[in-house]
Amino acid sequence: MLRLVYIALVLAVAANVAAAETPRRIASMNLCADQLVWRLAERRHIVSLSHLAADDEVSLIADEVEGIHLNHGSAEEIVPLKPDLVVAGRYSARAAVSLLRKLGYRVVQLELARSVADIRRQIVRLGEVLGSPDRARRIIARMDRRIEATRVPSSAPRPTAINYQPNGFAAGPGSLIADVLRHAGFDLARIGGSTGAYAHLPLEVLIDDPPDVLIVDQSYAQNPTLAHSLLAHPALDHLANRIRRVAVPNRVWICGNPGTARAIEQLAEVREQWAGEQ
Amino acid sequence: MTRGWKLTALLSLVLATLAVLSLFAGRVAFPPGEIARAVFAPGDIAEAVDIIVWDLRMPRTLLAILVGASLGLAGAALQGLLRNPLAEPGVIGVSTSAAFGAVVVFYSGLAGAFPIALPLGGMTGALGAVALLILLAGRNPGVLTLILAGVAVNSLGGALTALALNLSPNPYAAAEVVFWLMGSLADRSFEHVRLAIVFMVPGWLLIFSARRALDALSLGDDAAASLGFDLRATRWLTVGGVALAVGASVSVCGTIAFVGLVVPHVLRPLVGFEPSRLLPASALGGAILLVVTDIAVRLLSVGIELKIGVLTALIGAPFFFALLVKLRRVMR
Repeated sequence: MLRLVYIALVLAVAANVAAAETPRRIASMNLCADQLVWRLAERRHIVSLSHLAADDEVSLIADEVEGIHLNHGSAEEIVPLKPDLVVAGRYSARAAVSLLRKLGYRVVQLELARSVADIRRQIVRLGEVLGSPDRARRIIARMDRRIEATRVPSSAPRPTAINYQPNGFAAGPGSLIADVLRHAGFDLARIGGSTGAYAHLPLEVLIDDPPDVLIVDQSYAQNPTLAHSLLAHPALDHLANRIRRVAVPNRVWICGNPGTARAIEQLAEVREQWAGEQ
Repeated sequence: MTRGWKLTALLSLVLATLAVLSLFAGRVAFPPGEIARAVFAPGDIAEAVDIIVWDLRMPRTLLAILVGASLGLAGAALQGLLRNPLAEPGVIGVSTSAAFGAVVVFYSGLAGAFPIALPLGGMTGALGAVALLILLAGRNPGVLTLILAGVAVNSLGGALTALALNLSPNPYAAAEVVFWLMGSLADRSFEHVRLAIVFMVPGWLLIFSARRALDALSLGDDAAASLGFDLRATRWLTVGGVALAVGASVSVCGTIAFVGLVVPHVLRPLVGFEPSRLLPASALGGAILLVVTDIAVRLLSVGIELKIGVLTALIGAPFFFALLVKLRRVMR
């Protein structure tokens, strides 16, 4: 009898520990965290996502998240939800994060993913935190299969590319975009001497030394922005007969994400077409 | 009279020389011969040089001339009208309010549908600001009243711009408008030139048509009225001209401060303190200042682009201080 009580106790404690380890009320306050949490956790365990998750310009899950509570990155919206885990970005909603920590909430912060390897690491880490390591492994395996399918032989010619963004900024060698380009069989064209994630690239420099492929960001293109007017500059149109211009939606690589494989697939196709013309 | 003619000729010559030099300045260095060939024999030159000279450097230089002239002229006109050396579109909030008008037009989507709406928005903002300023400070404001009214108009314009950005659904809006407000001529096209020029030239003509009255006004309201000038008409001609010129400038280039303060002040002694002669001289001087600063911006930019409005503000602010110190002595 005593033995049975003992076993029951052990089981109860074990269940409790498991409950503490597997969050049941998850709130995400960052677009990149939203998309990983959405894939890794059960829907019924997610109490809130950031409002950007529902914006299809930047989010890959916009059409799936209907009915989910959306927050705007303030602690006030999070506290009444009584989450047992808050996932936030390293650089966003910092005031809210420090306040939530002070109030005793468990907060996990995600770094920015700067490479496909970073994406794998993040999925593994979040899978552990969310108590779904198996699902994390499956997601990574699926992503890796998609990437593997696009692999080009190392002897194949590699076109140069630049991702030109609003306001004349270009993705630099230290960015996720650069790593995606490498995986898709491109070389990042030289952007000044920059090694960081972003560099300012004057139109003059771009035109003097154009890449084989110019990738422009079309998000929010239907909303007018001053920043985008640069991408409509006649000088870029005049260059059109010399270089290939492709639009890649920002949502596939604004966050490191299993969906980033889509960007690799799309660009690998562009590379095929380019190679066919050479 | 002969001296005025000589000054105009000299300023024009300097401006023409600088405008040509401006085609040679840029982030990418080309041999001068190649640039000259691109200008005189476009078509049989490497495509990159052709595009850079005709699509980037030409419109940029033209805009520097147009915007500089507009700002210099607007400063001189406002100083003549308000009889106050501190009246300048940037200082008294006209530029900020024009920026508000342009921002509203831009983010409401109107500018995308009708490009002409952008300068119209800028001008509406500018006109509102001058009207509000005259309402607040009166027709003949002292230095202190003018500056206080300017602070009020400036802060209203800034607050409204912030509100418009706050309500914009576009996450890029805030960042890009902060950049845009710094003022820049970089990577503009002939579309911007066309858009600006159709409003600037009528603005200049309105201001010039008031030049005799501004001369008379420097003797005082009563003197001008007794000389047969319609003061109401003068006021509206000048204000309308300033709104057209500054509104169009701000809507294509953002806010570029202090040009209208520095230029008329430097040139005033050279034209015998006559507003009618100060106007053309300030237009040329403003164009020269902006072309020079824009060349400097291009030569100084390493890595991140330096904004021209930042540079003119850095030149203008110490000038403003000096002017205040001088005025304080005079007022005592």
